[in-house]
Amino acid sequence: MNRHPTCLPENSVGIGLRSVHIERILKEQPEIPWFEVLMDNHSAQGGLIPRQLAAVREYYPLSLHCVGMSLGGVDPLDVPYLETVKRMIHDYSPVQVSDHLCFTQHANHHFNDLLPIPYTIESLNHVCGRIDKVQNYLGMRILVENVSTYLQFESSKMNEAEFMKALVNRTGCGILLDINNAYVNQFNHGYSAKEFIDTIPIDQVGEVHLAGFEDKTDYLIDAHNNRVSNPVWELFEYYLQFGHSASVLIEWDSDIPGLEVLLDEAEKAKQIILRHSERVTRYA
Amino acid sequence: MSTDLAQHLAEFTLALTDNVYFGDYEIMLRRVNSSRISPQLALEIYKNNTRGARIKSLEMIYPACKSILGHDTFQSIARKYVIEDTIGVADLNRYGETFGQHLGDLVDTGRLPDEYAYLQDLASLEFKFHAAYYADSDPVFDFELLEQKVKKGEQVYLQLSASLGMLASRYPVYEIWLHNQPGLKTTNIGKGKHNVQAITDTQYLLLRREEYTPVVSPVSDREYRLLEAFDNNQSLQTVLDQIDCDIDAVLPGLIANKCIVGVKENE
Repeated sequence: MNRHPTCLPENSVGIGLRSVHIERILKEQPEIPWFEVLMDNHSAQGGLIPRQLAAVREYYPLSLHCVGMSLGGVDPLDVPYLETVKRMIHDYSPVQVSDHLCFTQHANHHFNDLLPIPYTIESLNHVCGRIDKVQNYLGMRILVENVSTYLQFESSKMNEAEFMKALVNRTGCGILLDINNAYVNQFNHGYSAKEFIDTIPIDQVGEVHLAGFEDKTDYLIDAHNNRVSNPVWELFEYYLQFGHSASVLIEWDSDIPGLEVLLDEAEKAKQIILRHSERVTRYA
Repeated sequence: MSTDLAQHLAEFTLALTDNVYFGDYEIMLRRVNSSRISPQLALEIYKNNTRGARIKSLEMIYPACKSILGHDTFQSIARKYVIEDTIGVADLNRYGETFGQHLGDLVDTGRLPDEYAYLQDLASLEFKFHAAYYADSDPVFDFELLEQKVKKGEQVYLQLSASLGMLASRYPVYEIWLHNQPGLKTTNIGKGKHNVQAITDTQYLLLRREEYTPVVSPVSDREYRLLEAFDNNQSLQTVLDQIDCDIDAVLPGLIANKCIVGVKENE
């Protein structure tokens, strides 16, 4: 395995690195192409966490996923937070770094949630400026992830996909396409997730997230606490049918199951990718 | 500053607090589109997400308090705490440092029985224990630097471990904590009970990380006072002058067990 790749393997399926699995992963070194590391859970500078993370990095490529850049926020950028991201880039050489199109703090109040912003020209200019600053500071391109939302602002002048397309064009950032989030938004807001996929600059997708939502009957919650939901698999197939490649993550953030369950989901994704790549090859 | 965006975010976040004026809430509701989810429900979902994440952190950091209070009471107290805490922290691994004080206030105001008076100290122990796990690494003790400073007659300020937490309690919180650890066999001391009386002698505890594992150790009042003095940035000479303690007998042990990890500049 290439210990220091510059990108994630194409058409590969990684899983999130979770503390309950790390000992076993280090002991057995299962065949997992890469891990996504939640920066906010692994930023400690002392003790077991950095030691384990460095050991995992010896065998696996990493993708560093953040939740605290608050790219859509209007508070000044959190410099200590970015310093931590930069330190982790230095220490663990992740292949890529990502965060979300949202805000997480306002007026120094922290919300520990991914809160939506209005999609206006003013917001676009503002977020582009912040992404530029973050990318310059980190010295690398970041991926920006679409989030699940439960409300839409009346003042929005474009949809989320158009907003993300403009972000990519203006800042050179990439996209982390969360297919679960796209589906949750389709269900909750009534717009087409396929249209969302068709609109974003698909060649700039550096990572794809697959996850399970929680069905509240009238609406869906982006829960990440169970197996990938069937409509999400179907939407993933739609994404793949045009020959798009993917570095896919099985995302599972709470009620973490045994490693076998994650590997089982990863295998399912791998089989779907394989089927589509064979089909595309035949067609070509 | 993006003015309209700032205004939107201010109104949105204000609507996520419970002490919002009805008029402000209405302004926010007019700013959002209705879909399958009503604006009111959407705001409730966001509130629940924030609160749920914080309550989960409190459950992770304070397992003994939860075990003693029981799931429902703990949830109820935690929920009120997170609702009142409008500022929060970015890093949920460090959330809830004042939760112990909150428990103490509940006892002081009669909302929890007096028998729970020890919970504030127990919570403090649990928070420091948790913090020790995430603390930065310590430097290797630089004995040469210590020697140089002594030779030059300079004031010596000793540096404590980044993982070190200290607790003095009138209650047997160490035993209560021990016997409310998941997976540990217990005796009858304080397990899920609140008939704990104050003890005659104050209990002094140190919390720190030994390599990768946080540990709690009872210490003598002499050791505790010494570390407290160093923590308050008193020089070694001041400590020698002011604290009645055989420092030659105590200091080597505190260095050996890495409570004291080096020499620092005066802060």
